[in-house]
Amino acid sequence: MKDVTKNACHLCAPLGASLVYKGIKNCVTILHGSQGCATYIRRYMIGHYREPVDIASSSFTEHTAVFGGQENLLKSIENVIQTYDPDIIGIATTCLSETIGDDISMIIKEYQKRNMERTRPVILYTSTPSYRGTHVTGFFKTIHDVVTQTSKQAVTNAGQINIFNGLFSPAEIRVIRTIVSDFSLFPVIFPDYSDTLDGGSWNQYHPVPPGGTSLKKLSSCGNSAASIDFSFCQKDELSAGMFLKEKFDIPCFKNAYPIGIELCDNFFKTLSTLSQKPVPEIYTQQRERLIDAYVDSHKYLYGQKAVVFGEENLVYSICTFLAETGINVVCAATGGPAGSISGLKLNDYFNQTSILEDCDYEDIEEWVIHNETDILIGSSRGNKIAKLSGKPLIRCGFPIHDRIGASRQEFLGYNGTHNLFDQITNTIIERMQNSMPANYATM
Amino acid sequence: MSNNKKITTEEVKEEILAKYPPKVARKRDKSFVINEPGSGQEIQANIRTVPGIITQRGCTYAGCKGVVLGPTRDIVNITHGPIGCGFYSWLTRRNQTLPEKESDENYMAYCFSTDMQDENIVFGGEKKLREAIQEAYDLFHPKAIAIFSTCPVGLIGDDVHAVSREMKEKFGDCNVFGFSCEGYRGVSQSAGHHIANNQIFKHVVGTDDTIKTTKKFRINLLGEYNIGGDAFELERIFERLGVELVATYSGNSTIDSFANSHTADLNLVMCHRSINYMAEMMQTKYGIPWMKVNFIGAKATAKSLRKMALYFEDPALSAEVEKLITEELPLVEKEVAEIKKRTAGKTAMLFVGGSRAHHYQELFKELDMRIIAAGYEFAHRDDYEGRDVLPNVKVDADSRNIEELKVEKDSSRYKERASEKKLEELKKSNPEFQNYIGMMPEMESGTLVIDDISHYESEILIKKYQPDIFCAGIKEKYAIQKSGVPLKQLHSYDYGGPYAGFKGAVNFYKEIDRMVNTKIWSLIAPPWKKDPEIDAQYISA
Repeated sequence: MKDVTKNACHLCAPLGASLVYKGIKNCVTILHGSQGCATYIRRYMIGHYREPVDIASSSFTEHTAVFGGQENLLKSIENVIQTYDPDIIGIATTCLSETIGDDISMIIKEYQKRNMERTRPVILYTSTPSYRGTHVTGFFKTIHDVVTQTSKQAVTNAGQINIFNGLFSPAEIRVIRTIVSDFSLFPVIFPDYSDTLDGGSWNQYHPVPPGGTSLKKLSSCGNSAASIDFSFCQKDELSAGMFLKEKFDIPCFKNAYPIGIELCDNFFKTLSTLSQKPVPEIYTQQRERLIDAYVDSHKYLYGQKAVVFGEENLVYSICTFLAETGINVVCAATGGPAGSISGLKLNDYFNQTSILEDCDYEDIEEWVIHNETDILIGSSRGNKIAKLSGKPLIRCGFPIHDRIGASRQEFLGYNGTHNLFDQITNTIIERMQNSMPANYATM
Repeated sequence: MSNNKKITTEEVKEEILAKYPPKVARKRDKSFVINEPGSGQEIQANIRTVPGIITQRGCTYAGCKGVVLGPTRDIVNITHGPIGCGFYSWLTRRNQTLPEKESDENYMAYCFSTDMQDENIVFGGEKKLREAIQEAYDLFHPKAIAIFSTCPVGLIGDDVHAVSREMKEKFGDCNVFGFSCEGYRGVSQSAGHHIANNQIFKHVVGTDDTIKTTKKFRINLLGEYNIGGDAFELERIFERLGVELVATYSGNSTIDSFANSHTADLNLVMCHRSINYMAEMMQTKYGIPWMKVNFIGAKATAKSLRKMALYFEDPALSAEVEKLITEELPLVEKEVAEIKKRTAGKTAMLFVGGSRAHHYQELFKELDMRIIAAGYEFAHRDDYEGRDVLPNVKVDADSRNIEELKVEKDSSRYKERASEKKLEELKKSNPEFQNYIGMMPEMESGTLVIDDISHYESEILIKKYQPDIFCAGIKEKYAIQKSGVPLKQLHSYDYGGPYAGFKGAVNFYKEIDRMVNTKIWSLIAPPWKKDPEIDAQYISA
């Protein structure tokens, strides 16, 4: 690891935790640490989703930092209950509370001891020091920790399956729900921030925005017939599906984000197997259309050089998809840890792909300056590289704060892939068009 | 406009406080004032936010690195800590900068961090910090490197000051200095402002004595951070007046301008909260008087320029100021006369900053709009009640925690700019000469003044009053707009601006006109909800 990180390609773990808690129904998050953590993370998530994000803080003082955060956390739980009356409080730690070694499970026990008569809210917690991992590991760890704390097993419900999401957009969560339901399966989708982070205008005041996975649904995870878990590039210890497999013997399918024919096929095949139903006609048609588009556009895309950057799971899936189209991924970069994408044999698809792991945007910029590139695919933070190199940037992933529509970005499934595909193709065509001395109107 | 006129302000306050546990309610009560100018009301401010109450406030680090030091383009700012803090403060404050030449140093687009990992927390991060400074130095050879401490740094005992000193000595040609601005250290970003002021004053101000221009009037503009290009508009105005802007703290600034800023003759203070320390210290050490100004609002701008001219007692300068005002103010007034027809009588609430909630009232007044509630996010009592209360402000543990520099006259650099007699006269003619009168005296009787408003409280205010516009920041924006009230961001300006000076005022009028008169809100209820007949037809079909 280098000494100075210049323009990091990852964020901190408590942000991932906050995102997961936004996917629980009537849940308020408390970050245990300095109030700046809550403010910064709210500010950053709101910039991307353009929706209210309410995160409370235990607001450490110097005194708290020295003598421990128990009383502050207990006070914040009490105040959140009084003002928001949530069903669930989700607590995540920060570097501050972790450095002084606060034991959250002990503090929660103390809370329960002091409030024996209370039946709600349920208090969940996760440990997310920002000096360990990234926002991506924080995200998956929180899903894992919530499921370990809430899931119970009673009777297996043959039609119910768990979907443990990756870092999807609200629109993509809706797509996943539709797809799974079209197989006549009943999904427990977690986290589900499809409404909380992409809601409409309100007719009435809501202390906590409506939407999210309910506690009842969460506790029924143990009754599901199977889990599909999108923590594909993560270690099994961060997988909620793998936890349920070990604890309740529920089969777990670790799928990559379904982008492109191959990865969508995997997902749909899994659903078909689980439901014992053929893939609905509507999706085979979508698939055919996508392939048809691949064929039509191959002349523009073949040999185009793409640099893809962002969180490891998204990078892996986009690279796999681009390989199908004829685009050559010349550089795949992630701020995720070493081994997160290099183990996935991207070079089976491409002759020579530079893989940068645990990298920052300066490493990517350096790479782009010294190598030939046609197109950049990644978050808004690639803007500086795009400006400097004059290459177009297709925005995807997190954060997207310089364009609207991050919540509605939909790149999953055959149709979602088609959206991404059209965007990429049109961007490349536009470049060709603009670089031709004799301009032309039709393709 | 209030939907429910029967509800009194007292009742609203009561209803809001009723939701809190008794102890919290008692505490919030003191920060919740129904304004009665001239009655000597006290407001509780700069007190810790109650844990669990969702606040607008940020942390000490944010105030230090993000606000005060962020806008200076040629200092390499390294965040010492895990990655989050550096990332979240990376180009998120929209302070603009414009290097004179393309080859000039500009590190604004960078976010440097030591990205501390587990092992740095366990074994200490000084080694990594030292190597990070070295790497940054080798890469850029900057004039200065600044180190900002995040929460864990103070706890594990890394000495950022010692490392900075060591590296400064080692390089010889690069000023390296550190800030103990751990997030938990103060009540809000305000503590970070103070720490930033102290360290710039200690390490930078007064290190370059050369007088670089021959202009007669040389001033500093303090507390102007060039959000949305405000400083550019003010630079234009001073340029026209022939007044030399030695340094702006810190919009569109360079470290060299700070080093030289003790040679100016007057400090104009915009954001009193974030920079009054610097004004006071420069006065004590170098003899530079200061005055509070406000360049938000066209009339306020004219007034502030006149105050400045009065200080210099120069007929030519006064004539220039009058000439500028006669040329520019009528154009602004023509614009506002037209827009006012659509904004007059509408209501606004402002909850932002340590100055903006006050300054922006001027612009709303020019639009004939009424302010029904206002408050600061991180201000102190003097920003509300005026500096006269300073002797009565209790010094609590949190304030003691922030170093008060002991400043003395600099034997060689101190220069008396104005005689005692002149200073006294100026104080008489200008109540804001070396003084700030605060926000509350300038607000109407019966309006609400709330310090550190919580997320919950602001939502209740919206529900009760449905103001025509609410001014705050991005964290509040979408929550407020969900309820059908437009929110103007006064941190980032919603990517608009500039709003300062004469040209800025016109931009703001147009923006508010757009926001309070949009048709979008009328579309919220679908026709089948609005028209019962359609509803009935649908059911019968």
